[in-house]
Amino acid sequence: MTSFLIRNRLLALIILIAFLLRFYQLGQNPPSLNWDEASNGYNAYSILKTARDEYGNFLPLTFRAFGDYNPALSVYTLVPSIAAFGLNEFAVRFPSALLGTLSVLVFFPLIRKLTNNTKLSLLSSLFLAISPWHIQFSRYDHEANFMLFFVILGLTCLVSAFKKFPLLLISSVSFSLALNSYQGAKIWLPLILLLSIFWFRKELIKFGAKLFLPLLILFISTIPIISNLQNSLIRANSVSLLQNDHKFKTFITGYLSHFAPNFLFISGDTIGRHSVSGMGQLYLFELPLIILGLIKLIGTKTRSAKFFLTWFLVAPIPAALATPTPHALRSITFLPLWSILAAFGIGIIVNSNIQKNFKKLIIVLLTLTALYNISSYLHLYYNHYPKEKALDWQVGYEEMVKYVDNIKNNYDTIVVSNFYGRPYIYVLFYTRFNPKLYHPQSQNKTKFDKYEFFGESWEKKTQGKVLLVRPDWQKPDPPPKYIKYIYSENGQLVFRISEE
Amino acid sequence: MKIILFVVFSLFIIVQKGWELPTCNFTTTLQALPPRLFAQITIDGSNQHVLVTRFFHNKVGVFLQEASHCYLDGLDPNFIFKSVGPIGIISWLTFVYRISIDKKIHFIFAFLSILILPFFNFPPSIVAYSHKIFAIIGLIFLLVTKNLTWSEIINNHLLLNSRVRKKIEEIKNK
Repeated sequence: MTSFLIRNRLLALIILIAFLLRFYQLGQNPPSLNWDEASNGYNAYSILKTARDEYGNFLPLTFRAFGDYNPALSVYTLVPSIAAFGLNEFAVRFPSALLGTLSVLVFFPLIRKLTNNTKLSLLSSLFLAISPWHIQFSRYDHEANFMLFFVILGLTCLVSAFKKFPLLLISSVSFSLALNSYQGAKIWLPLILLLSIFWFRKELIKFGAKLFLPLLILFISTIPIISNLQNSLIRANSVSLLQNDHKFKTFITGYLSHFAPNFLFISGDTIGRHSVSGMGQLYLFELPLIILGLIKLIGTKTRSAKFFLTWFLVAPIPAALATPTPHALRSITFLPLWSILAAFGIGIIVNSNIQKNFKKLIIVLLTLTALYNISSYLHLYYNHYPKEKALDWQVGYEEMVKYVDNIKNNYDTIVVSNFYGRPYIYVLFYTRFNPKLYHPQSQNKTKFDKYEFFGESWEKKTQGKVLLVRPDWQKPDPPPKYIKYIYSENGQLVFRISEE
Repeated sequence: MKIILFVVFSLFIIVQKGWELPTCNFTTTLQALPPRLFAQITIDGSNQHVLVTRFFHNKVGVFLQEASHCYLDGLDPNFIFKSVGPIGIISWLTFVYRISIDKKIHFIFAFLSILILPFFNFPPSIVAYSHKIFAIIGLIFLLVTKNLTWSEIINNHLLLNSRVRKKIEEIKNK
């Protein structure tokens, strides 16, 4: 690996940039763990300590979380990280950031194999390394980022396997891992596999009977899904457009919305965890490059170009089958394509026949715009994002739980409002609650140990001293004795803690 | 046959309705400036150097972003789809592709300039009807000028490999 990077100094530099953009202040920004991260983290902690999930199931193949059953890979990936770094934000996000960085690394050979063009491959990797869309999902623990890495790795091994059969086995293992990493992979994996088989059928057919083994690996990888099919489909049923009255129209609208220039370059996804407000999913300077790249790609008659183009056209399908749209997370499947198109766009400008000085001027202008866009993004991400999107990340839970945990011995009961959602998982996570003690109490999500969780309002029904955590808007009359206020990064009051 | 197809498809493109474009023009852009700047500067806080705040949050930057937003509204695929319909969107894409690769500067200029008009308070219907015209010109590219059938387009661009295409060209040459 080291000698490979020394030979490819530019690639090493790109990997370094990718690493810095994904790891700098990883534990602090995004400003807090969202409940899915906290759930994955605590389940991994429970596996580490007891080999059982939060419900006491022994090494499950799918993890139950908040009524859903999620693929197991992302939880198991956290186990070594939590063993090494402890149960904290950095440990929970470490695997995602690492795989995000490695995605940039494995993306390079994929493009080089398909285009035989090292410069284009380097540029594609660079665009992926600096992509705000990819950075966003590499900096928090989400299975979609795991899927993206394993799909890129699978494709890289597939296109490299034509002369080295063992790589085909690695490819099928990688695709299998992708299938078991994210809900959306159940739709995306068959699509990308069919595309790959279609475009590379000549090479694949040559393997003949040898193909049995990789196909067997792929078949085995479906067992966790098939064996738990009913539960695996809960999430799909809740978000899919099957519930919708105008299915086809909704699908078309959703599909097209992922190509909307305003979504891509100006405003981005409206969900706070998916993008930084004030900019799109991609940089504005990439817009002309992507248009040029797309024209070039359509005009190129090579098999690789057709593969990229069909990938580009089918990529939003998984996202379009669900609502809401456009959805940056579910359409992460075509994130690498934008990098390839931007790289193609640079290639067109550099190789064009326009006057030399004019070409230089275009390149200088593009570079300046790129630098401004990138620095603006970093400013928005590190300065604005933690303040603007604090509540999207359930800011306040960490401080509240740590405060309550310090003084809990002075009270008989601790009552926490579930207004901000799933408080029990934050109590488990930040108190590092012993999983062995939690397993027998895990079925009741309104109560465990000293803690009780309430909805709209709470009335004291038992004797004893109570510590009460309410959201900012719940102000009982007469006011109780408040002992602590918890604020978010933007100064907004999140919790009032009182004694009753 | 192609003429009939052209007329039918053109009618289909013309009768499409249901499109709408959000109100976004020079006036709304100017109105958006003060609150957006105020919000951004407030979030930056007083601890940050004023030059850094000015560099990232200034009238020119916010104006350009808002104006780009208005401009790109006209290129929203759902707006185009509703303006020209399912067949129209294919011919619209053909139009855009052909004027780009053939470097038809006058068409490119017309295409890019029309999108600016709603920004200067011209009715948004201009953009919708322009898309219809572009889609109909795209139909001409598809059906008349190039003598390409749908199957040829699909075969040439998507499905057939180079060996099969060579054979087709050989047969055509003969």
